[in-house]
Amino acid sequence: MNNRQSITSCGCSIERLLRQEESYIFITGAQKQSDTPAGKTYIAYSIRISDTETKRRYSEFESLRRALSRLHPTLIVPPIPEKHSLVDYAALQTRVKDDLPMIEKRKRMLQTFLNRVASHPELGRDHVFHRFLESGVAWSDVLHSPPLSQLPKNPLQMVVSKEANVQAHKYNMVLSSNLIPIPSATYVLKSPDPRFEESEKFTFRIANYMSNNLDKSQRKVIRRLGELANDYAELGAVYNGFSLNESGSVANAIEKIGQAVDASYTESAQMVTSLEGEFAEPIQEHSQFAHIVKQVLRFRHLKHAQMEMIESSLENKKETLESLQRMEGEARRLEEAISRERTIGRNAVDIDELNNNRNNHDGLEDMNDPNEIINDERQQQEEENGYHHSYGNNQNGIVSPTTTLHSNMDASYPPKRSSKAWASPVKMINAMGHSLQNIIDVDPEATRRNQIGKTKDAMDVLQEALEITRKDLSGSSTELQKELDRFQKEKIKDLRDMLIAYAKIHIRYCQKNLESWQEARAEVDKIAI
Amino acid sequence: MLNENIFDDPDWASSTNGFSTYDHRTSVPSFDPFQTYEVVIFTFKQSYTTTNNNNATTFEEPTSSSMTTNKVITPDSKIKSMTIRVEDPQKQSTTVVQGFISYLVTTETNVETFNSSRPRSVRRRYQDFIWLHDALELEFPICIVPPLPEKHRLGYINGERFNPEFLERRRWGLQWFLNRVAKHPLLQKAQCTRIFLESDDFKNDKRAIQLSNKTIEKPSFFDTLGDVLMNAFAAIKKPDQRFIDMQDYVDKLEDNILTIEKLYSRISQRQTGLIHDYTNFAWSIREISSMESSIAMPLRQFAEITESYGKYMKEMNSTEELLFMNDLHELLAYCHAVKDTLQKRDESQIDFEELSTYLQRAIEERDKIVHNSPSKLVEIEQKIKELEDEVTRTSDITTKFSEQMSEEFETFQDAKTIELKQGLTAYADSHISFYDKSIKLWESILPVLENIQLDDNVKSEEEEEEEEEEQEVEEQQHYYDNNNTYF
Repeated sequence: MNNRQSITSCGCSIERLLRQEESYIFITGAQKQSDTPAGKTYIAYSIRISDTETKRRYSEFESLRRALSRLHPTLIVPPIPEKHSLVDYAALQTRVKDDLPMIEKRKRMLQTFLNRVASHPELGRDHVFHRFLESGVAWSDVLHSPPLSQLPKNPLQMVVSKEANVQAHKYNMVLSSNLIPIPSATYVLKSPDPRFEESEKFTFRIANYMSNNLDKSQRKVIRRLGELANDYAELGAVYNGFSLNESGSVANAIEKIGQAVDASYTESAQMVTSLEGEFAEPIQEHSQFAHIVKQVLRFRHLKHAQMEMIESSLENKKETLESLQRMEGEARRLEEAISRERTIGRNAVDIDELNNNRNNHDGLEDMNDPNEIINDERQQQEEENGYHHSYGNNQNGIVSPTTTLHSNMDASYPPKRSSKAWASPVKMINAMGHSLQNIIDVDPEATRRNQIGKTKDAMDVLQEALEITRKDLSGSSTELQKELDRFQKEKIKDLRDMLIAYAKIHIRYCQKNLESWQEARAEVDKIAI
Repeated sequence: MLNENIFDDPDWASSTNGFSTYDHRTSVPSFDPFQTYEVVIFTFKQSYTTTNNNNATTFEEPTSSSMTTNKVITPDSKIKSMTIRVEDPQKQSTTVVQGFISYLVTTETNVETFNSSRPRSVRRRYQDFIWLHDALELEFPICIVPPLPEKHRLGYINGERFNPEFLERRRWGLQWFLNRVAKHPLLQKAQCTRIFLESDDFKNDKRAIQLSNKTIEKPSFFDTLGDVLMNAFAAIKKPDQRFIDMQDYVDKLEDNILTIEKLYSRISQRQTGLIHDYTNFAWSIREISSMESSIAMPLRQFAEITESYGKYMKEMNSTEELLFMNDLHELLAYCHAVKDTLQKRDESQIDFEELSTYLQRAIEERDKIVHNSPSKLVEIEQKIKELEDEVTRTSDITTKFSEQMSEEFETFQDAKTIELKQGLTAYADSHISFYDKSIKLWESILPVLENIQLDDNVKSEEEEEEEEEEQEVEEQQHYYDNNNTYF
């Protein structure tokens, strides 16, 4: 896809640095500092690429990640280490911010985050990312200038791919119009895309599994090893004490055994550290990754949903237009009939007569019919509107176009004189309604024509939106599929590396222990009996 | 009568003389372990090394042995070569409900009183061991008789009598018991020991000793005096530094062992927990393998490796427990026996000291009334005479006890050293074996992981089918293995 790769490179200095071979982003330090002398302290992480250095704090990393996700909702943006949870605060005696191992862990994981972003074919070229890495750039400035300042609240309100030939990653007028429906999460696609259906199912399963089972079980191993390490330290000391009570070769042997046990302590502690860095953290990352993939797929799903909804909306508008135009036609005929009647026997019409003989007047029947037609149509419309209503309800408070339709309908009733048949309660209520409408509506015909115009305009907007959305969906689906493939490869590579690390850490552990126990055994052999 | 039956048996020719002419245990009232008895020794002497299992101990004969065709007046207190093996626990049922376990006890020794120096096997049950232990205690009150493994090991397991783990532990305990007896210069030559190790008609033979043992009672002088109360909590007036040092040493040894035991029970629990964690982790990996089809095979193999690692750990724990912790526990019991004997020795000294004091008072009393009432004088002189005899007696006892104690302690130290060496060897070996096997295990998975192709895995269908078949066979094998291990 040449379109995608021809992202204009920003040509900034950071980009040049990143392009260099072997360029790696390092987080070299974590320092406590505060903005004002009496202000709250925070940890600032020093970021370095070759010779450029800058400092950012955790909240800025969070902000960066959020920004990248909003700019590129179809890309899998790498995770950052989670915020400290309340549990963390509760578990530690000291303030979490002062806990060195936690800070070290954050340093490592933030460093990994930056490098993953940098090596991503799209994200690595993002200028917002570059500005994050630049020294002397205040992050708040970046937040308040384009492209971040131009992002819509809802990512569905913008175009995300190149397909649509519309500028992407910024607020789009058409898509942000009130007319465009926003799907809810529970919307079921009428014609889902099979490959993404599969992906969604799979991702759902694996995301759950990774965080609930794999992550937990591997953590338990590491924790237990840590506890054992402490036990070994104690036991080693006991053996040393034991050897003091003995003498000669027995004492030597027991001492050596004590040393072997001490070595077990050292090696176990080392194993815990290594496993943390080379296994536990990547598992945690991938656990988070699985959830990110879920979100990205969900976005595409919503886009698909939105497209279907626009199609529906367009269909409805067509129908509305047709019925409006029919009504227009009806009303015209009616007008002509009435005006004919008026000129002939206007004075002949008597209220009392009308009251008593509602069925005698042809004109009345004629007049009644349109009402009923309108009522029927109205009921039909309500059914369809109800469907729309279920997802027309959105947080953005965009008024569903259907409500306006109601008032349109009301306004398009033909003008009615107060002297109509009152016999049936329905007709009485209708007559009341009409009377009210007549009070509000100065010129129902003009209103109706206005409505026709508006509907036509709405249809234009919807049509354009539909075209944009269709293309965007196609483009972003392709993009997403490529992204999933790329991610899958990265994941397999990571898993491979992790498992190899796990095996190697264990081999080293066993080798070191073997040595010290063999030494101890040799000393035991020397016991004279 | 029973004696006659035994002694008429030609197979017992070697020892008939000794038993028919003189039975030192019938001499009353004083009990003297150093009473002489005659033995006819064999003309040949053999020193040989038997197969040295790591559960039996062999001892080289002291080269300065004076074994010749002599009638020995004083018993040879040098240690003879004696190797005993306790093995092959077999269930023997008398009825459906009451069964018992018997052990094969095989002895090779050149102790003269024994029938032959060739290996000799008998079957004995736990009750028989108890008999031997009690008989030895009676016969050698100033020796440290090694304790038996407990009848019920509550601390370790609460399994039934026939639980294989329990049996194994007990077998080891009995083995160590007999090792210690075999290494003790006096105990190894005791008649009850010989009967235990050799007799084919154990039920009857042991009765012979039981009858004569009944007459062994250390008569208490205080029974005859009647109204003398001995202060049970009397302290020694002239404590001997040697024994204080022994007491100290054994106390510290006990402390150390107890600390290790306590710590170990915690470690053992955690190690079991760790095995559990590794197994769960392996299961998680297996689950992932069913979702990530491109690397399903390597993941499954990784899961298996992790499980095997857990299994090896379990084996190491079991061996550690059986051969080292068990060893330490038996050593602890031995320490108790040492302390008991030390206490008895102290008591004998207290006896002597108390009696001396009593005698002293009696003499003073006599001196006071010597001129006053001649009738009472006779009484007191009588008392003094009796006291003097007793003082002499207890003095002898204490002296011999103390002399023997030093040797006993040395025997104990030697046994302890051997046992520690065995235990520590087993301890170290179990670890070495574990780490060694584990290195090979983890190394075996590296090529599999390294071969994971980072581009699309393209395998022919045939290859995949083959691999799956192999996998199934392997899995079945593992399942089978899992269900066949004891520990």
